[in-house]
Amino acid sequence: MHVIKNIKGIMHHKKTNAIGVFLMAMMIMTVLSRFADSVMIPRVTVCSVQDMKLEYPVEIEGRIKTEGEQAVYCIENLRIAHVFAEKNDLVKKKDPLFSVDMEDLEIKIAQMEQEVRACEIGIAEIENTYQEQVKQQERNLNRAKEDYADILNATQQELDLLYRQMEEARIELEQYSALQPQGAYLEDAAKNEEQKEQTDTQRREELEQKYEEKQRLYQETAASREEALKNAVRQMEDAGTSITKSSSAALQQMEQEKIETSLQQLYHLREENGYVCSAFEGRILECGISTGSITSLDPVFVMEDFSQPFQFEGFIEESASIHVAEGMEGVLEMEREGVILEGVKISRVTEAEEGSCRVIAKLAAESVKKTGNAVLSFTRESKRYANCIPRSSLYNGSFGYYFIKVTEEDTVLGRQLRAEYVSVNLIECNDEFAAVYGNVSEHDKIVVRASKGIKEGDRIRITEE
Amino acid sequence: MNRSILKIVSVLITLAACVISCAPVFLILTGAITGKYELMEVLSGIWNEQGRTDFMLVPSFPTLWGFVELFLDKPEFYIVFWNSVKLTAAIVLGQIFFAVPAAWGFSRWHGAVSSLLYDLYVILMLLPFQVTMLSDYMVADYFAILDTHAAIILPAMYATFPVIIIYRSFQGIPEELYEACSLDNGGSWNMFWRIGVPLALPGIKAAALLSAIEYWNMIEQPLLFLKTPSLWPLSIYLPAVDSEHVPYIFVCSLMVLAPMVLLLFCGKDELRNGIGTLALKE
Repeated sequence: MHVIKNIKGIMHHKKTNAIGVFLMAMMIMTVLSRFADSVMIPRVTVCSVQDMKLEYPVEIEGRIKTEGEQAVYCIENLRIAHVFAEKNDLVKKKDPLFSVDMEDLEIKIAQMEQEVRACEIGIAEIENTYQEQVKQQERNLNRAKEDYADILNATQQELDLLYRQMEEARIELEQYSALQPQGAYLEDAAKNEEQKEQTDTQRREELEQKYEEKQRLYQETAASREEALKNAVRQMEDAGTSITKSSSAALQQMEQEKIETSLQQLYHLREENGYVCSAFEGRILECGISTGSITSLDPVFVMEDFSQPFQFEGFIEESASIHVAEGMEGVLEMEREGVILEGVKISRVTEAEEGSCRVIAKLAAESVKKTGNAVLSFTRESKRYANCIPRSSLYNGSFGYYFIKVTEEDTVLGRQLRAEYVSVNLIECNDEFAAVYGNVSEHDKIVVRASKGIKEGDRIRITEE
Repeated sequence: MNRSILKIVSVLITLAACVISCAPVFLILTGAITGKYELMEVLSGIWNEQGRTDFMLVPSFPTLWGFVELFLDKPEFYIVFWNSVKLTAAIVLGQIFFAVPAAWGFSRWHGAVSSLLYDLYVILMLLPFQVTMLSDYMVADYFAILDTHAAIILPAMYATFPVIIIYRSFQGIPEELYEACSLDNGGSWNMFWRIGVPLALPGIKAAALLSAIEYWNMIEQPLLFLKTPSLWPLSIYLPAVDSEHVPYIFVCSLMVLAPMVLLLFCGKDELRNGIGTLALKE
């Protein structure tokens, strides 16, 4: 009985403790649950929507060079004795660039002098020939005029004579016709009708034939005179045609002048003992000669002229050219020379080879004294956008662009933060920010980074803002 | 023969009634160890508002995953659980604190005023919450304690039901004991603390137990006074569980049931003694 009572007592004690154990277990589970929740809940970094301009930093690698390049030429077919400058060499004014072989130079001078003399002779011959032709023409013209006058006089007399004969025949015919009265004819007609009729007809026919013959003769003579005069006029015209002076003389003259010019250069070269010196300070870009080579029409040297203004020339890809515009200012850095220029303005942007653009920026005088490699850096700013979010917070899903916004909600756990997907339209973006429009507010908190993937409606915890 | 048949029939009827009354608990137990998809299929009539809802006697694929998820992946469960513990404990302690002296007063001082007050207490006890709801709300609003636990705890601390139960326990104490105490120069406090409370302890415990059960399961008061979810007790958190988290409903239900079962298991003797004293006195 006593044992039963003890057991009941122990049972009762255990029952009382069971509630405590239960509550203790629930407390432990509460802590564990909280711990699990804090481990499982995504921790996020958020930021606010910003009102800003998007910046596009651009770096263009290129070269500082002079605005114009100068070519150094030499008379062709001269043998090079020495070359004193090579590609990329810096040369000062009056520095020797190369020298020509003096012996060869003398030969060339002699040859050119001969050519000048040959030109002079040729020109004189052409001039003489021309004078002879002029005299011959004058003679021919005079003769043609004389021939014309002779034909005119001779044919005129003959024509006058024939005209008079024709007129006489005509008058004779008219007179004969006038002397034959009508009434007498009628009286005689009865008597000697047949005899008279035959006589008159015969006489009339004779006079008419005579007149016609004289008239035909006159006309033929007039026509032949006309033809003769026409021929005489033509001969006169032919003789009077001016003689065109041949251009050979002028060409010869020009050739002579050209040779003389070259000759003067050769004389000058001879005076300089065959040395060709730089006319300005600059850098050799190209060298087209070597010792022993023969000069040609091509430039001997191509040089940058440091006396001319400097400019930056660089190339960028066409896709990046949208960020470049004339008038933009940037910073030019010549790393090797340690030169940094601020406020360098882009003066020209042109299309270059396929898929690239050439950017030119003129540099202020005295700001740069040497050519070399340089980098032009500048930043293009877009127009101001009210809703800009970090690029890392913008996602592209099957339904378009969206970002994750933090929303607050009253839950059993208290005021909790939840993730909400917000669809937006992308306006433009750079590497860091994106300008969007849509259901965005300046008070929105945007999830930039998360410790794990976030689904719509997930609870989140902000660890950094 | 007839008596034995009658006995068997009565036992069978009792067993059947017992099975029927225990069926919900059994369903909660089986539901708590059933997988989510099986539950969704079986209870599709509830979630989809069409189709058939069946009872599961034994799950096809028993699992404790619902417990794991609830215990480790649902921190809000512990919020509402501890809210329930806090509310219930505060109310029960408050009731004991106020009901025991009140019951002692009713049992010791007899008179017209005392009788009137007691009748008033009985009337107040008979009034359901729906009747006093509006006035409770207005008072809570006046004292600016709406949407706080105080709005539930303070009115409940002055409940009349425990006073009636404890009063009956004090009434059951023989008058001779008080007289003996007074002869030993025991004052009123000694009489209350050394004679009344120890002897009425079963009644006090029973009242506390019944109050704990009542306020653990309260629904109307939190629904009316608490708008902030973080203040909710377990009893109104349950309906907020949706179909996506169907296993939690059964596990939560089990967890709602468990503390009270444990409490009853621990206090069944006190409850029997307290209510038994009450019945004996009646």
